[in-house]
Amino acid sequence: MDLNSLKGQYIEFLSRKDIDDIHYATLDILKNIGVKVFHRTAMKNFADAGADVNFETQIVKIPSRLVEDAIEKTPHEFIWHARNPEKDLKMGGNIIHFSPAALCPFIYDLETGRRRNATYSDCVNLSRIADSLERISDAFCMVYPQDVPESLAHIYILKAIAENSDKCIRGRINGIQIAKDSIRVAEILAKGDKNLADKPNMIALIDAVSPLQMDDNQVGGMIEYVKRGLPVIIACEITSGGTGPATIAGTLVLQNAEILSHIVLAQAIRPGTPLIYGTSSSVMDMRNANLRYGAVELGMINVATAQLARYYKIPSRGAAGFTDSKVLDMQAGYEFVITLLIAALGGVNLLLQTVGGLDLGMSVSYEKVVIDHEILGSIVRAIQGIRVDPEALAVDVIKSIGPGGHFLSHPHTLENFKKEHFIPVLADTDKYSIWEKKGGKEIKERAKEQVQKILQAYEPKPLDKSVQEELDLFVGEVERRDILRRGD
Amino acid sequence: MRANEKLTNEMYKINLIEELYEIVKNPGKVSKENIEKKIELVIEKGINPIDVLNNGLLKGLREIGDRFGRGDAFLPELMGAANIVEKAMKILKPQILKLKLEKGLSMKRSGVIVIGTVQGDIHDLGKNIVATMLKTYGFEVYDIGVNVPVDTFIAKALHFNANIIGTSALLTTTLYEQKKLIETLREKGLKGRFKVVVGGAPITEEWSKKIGADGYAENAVEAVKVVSELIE
Repeated sequence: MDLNSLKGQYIEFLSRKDIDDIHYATLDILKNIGVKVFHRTAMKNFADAGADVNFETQIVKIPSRLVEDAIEKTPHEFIWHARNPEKDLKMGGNIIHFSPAALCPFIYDLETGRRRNATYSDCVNLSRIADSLERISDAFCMVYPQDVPESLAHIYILKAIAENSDKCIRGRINGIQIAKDSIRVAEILAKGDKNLADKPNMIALIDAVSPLQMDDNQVGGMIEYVKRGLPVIIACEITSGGTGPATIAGTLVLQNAEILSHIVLAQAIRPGTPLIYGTSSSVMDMRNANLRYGAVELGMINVATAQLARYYKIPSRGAAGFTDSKVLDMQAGYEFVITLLIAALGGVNLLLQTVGGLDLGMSVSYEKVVIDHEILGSIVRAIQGIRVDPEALAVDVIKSIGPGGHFLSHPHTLENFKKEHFIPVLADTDKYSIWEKKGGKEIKERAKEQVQKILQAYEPKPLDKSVQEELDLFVGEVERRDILRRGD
Repeated sequence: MRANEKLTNEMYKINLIEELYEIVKNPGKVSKENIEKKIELVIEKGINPIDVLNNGLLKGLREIGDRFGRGDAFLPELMGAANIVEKAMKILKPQILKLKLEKGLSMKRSGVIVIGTVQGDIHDLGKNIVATMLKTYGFEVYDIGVNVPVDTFIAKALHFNANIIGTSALLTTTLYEQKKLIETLREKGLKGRFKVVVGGAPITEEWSKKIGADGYAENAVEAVKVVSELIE
């Protein structure tokens, strides 16, 4: 599948007036209440740009003109470059991409089925699997390895992705050191070209701290990326009713204020930096205070977020497909579909956390990765829509068959059935007796076999020798630095 | 020099048979390929038509049939391959008969099958697929249509001197027609003369055994296997 071929936008929840109302409500909040900024340099950047900054209270009030200027400066689209140019991703317009689950600490062991800590070897396996799956846009690490020192996890994660996939790569933002290390890897992958802004080959994601706060650590990391012209996804994870209003519209206003304040900062530091307008907000479950990843409202917020991003002409990012279920049951299936299908039909440009996640986004299941990827096939098919042209209308074909014949032997069928019908591989479509004869297996067992097959047979394209050597040297350097630091 | 020419000619023949095998095997890839022209070339070059059939056309069809059985190929591909073979056979069959006559080879009829959808049912997709596949494999197939009463099945089978009667039913309400056919054959003392094969979406092996049918197939590829075994 050509990763940039999927385009569409079918559902909207907000009218143009709704969007205007949200926009002006946001400007009101930013101008009169402002955001609290914990990063000293960022406060200075805001002040230089013309915001009203109180260095004592750390409150930054942003005039509407500044917000609108920043929106103007943000590119409408950009290309996220991959090691393999065929896998470059166009961001923006009405193109839709699906990225896998991200950095879950636990995994369901493929052999025992038991939930356990994720390891580096899972990072490698999952990067290879993500690389092999055609509908997955990038191979971001689905799990967070817990068998390596915490202070080195970021570099091992990047190593696992870079070595096992030639798709697009995401770096991490948590703190200046992690950001700098990630960007160094981006330079190595760009074969030493330090002018990353020309061909950005790494993007990072910042989560705003709701309500209305900009964290010191993350903002520090973000500034490193922005200074280099590398794209940043600005995302909010509001729990509606907890860290945001219980109303969806209120959540959208708060989220908009948080995203736009980051956009103002980024454009103040380096005008023209590519950014992505994003969300993973959902509702709070008022029984246990958990954010509900499987809530239909999450899908709706995704669509509204994409609408606002289109209004600002900035690429959008959503998050859908995680489930709150702990096992591969019906809940896992329906939550995946209800959130992701809605979000995808809403035309979100970059959908994160789409495959593999279970357990409130805390765990990954190998089997679920491939099952979700198959469901993505159906979703992709829906987005492709219905082609209506003379060939597809098939009038000549219908005439030539006439009443009572059949179309199975017609060349038109042979020519079109694979293009027009999504053919699932894991789903069982047999008669009962045949299903029984084939072992009477559930989808989980068939999925396990597919995972085993990929892990046995799939070989990702290796890095160029010189790039691999340089990466190894750098990883060694970071390891030595870590030993020295921990020795203190 | 001459030996070389002979060799080149042999190579050419082998390549052509191989090419036909590839065409049948990949009907989706070469659907626009003109099969008639290739077969005319076969005749022009004097290639043994039985060789062409067995090592080219049918070999390709068997391969796609096997893939279909494993779930790796799809019905339109199978039917596409069958269509190519059918087209090729229109030209090739007279050549094969001629060759058999010249060499004094057996001219025995291949199996004769009368096939139809039972009374009360006008669904014929499955029956048509099976009929096409059987024809492609060289059986003499008489498709007597849909909504066929038991008596007509028997009359036609007698008329064509058939080996096998194939009955298809899609509706659960018309399944019993298959049972009725076998009972009627027994009553008339014809059970031994014709083998009965049953098929259709709701049909199971269990049902087939219960009503005393001689064969049951899950799909068109299996139908060919079942019929071949029954005729041997």
